[in-house]
Amino acid sequence: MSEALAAVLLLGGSFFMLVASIGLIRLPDVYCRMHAATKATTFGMGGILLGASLIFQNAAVTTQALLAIFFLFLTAPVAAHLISRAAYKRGPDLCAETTHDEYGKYLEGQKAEEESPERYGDA
Amino acid sequence: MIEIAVQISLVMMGASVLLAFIRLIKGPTTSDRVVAADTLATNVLGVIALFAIQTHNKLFIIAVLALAILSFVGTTVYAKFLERGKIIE
Amino acid sequence: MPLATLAFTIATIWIFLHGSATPGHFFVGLVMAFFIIRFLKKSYYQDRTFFRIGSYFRYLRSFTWELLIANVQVLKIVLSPRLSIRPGIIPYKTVCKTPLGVTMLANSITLTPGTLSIDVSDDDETIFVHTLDIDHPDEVAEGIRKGLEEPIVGAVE
Repeated sequence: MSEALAAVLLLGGSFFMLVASIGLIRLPDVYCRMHAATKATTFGMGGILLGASLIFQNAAVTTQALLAIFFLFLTAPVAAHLISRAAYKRGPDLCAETTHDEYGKYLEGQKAEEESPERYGDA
Repeated sequence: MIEIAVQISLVMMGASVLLAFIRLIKGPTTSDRVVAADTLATNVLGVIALFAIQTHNKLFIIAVLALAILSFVGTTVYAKFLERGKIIE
Repeated sequence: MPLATLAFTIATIWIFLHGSATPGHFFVGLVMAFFIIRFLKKSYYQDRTFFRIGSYFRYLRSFTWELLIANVQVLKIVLSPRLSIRPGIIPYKTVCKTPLGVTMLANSITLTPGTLSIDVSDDDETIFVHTLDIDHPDEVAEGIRKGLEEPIVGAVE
């Protein structure tokens, strides 16, 4: 029973990893690719590690697997956040289908605010 | 049954690594390449976990834990490089 | 959680990691916990909300459900023969006040359906959210508010 569950978890986990990579190829720009890469890979790793802990049936392995899952769920969003912000500041490169871009307006407003005191200082 | 499942999973992971690698080579911008490298790192973690099951060696699970931490540090450094253009200031 | 409880938790985790529950290993765990706490005390964010365990479980249940939906949605979008996405970046006003609450919200947004947090404004009030498929920006914001923000506010604010 637990073997069957472990097999399903392993297959499902690696299937989601594959979906993430297909998304990496198919989606049009960095931010959309990040959606697939972040969500599906963490979910897939969770499945694979849970499957591994079910197969080994060992307290140490289960703890290590759970810690690894916890750590992945903690760090994957942070990494995605850092990369997407850096990518935007480097040059937005939003794909053609994009409908809203409020972040660009926010950054422009911030830049204008930074420049204005100096202008008053000169005058 | 587990053996067959692990074999099929390894094939899927191999395809996944290949696709991420294509994005790493093609990627029009540097940011694309960083995302691809991050995905590649996680894929390698999955391969190591599957390898641990295949060889019945539980030490590899510790390797997964350690590499997960290291790959996060690597991605952070990449992001900093993207934002500032240099790593050490 | 208080520092003494934290030390015992770290020692217990060490025993589980090691896989052999002897008093000697527990003692080694306590010594390591002492050094970890000593070096990382400054960045440890101490509050009393840890004891609201019920709300934590409510958040965890809500988060797990959203995570499942998110992955099924990614599956649908990536494997559909024709890509039908309309991405965009929208602002989301948060009511979370504490740094921990904003961090948890931003991280949870990234892992839930169709949304990815890009940046937090300087005053910690607005999270910029990249959305894969925008029909109505208000609907997206409503989904985040119902599914994530309310449980988080219940748990840590």
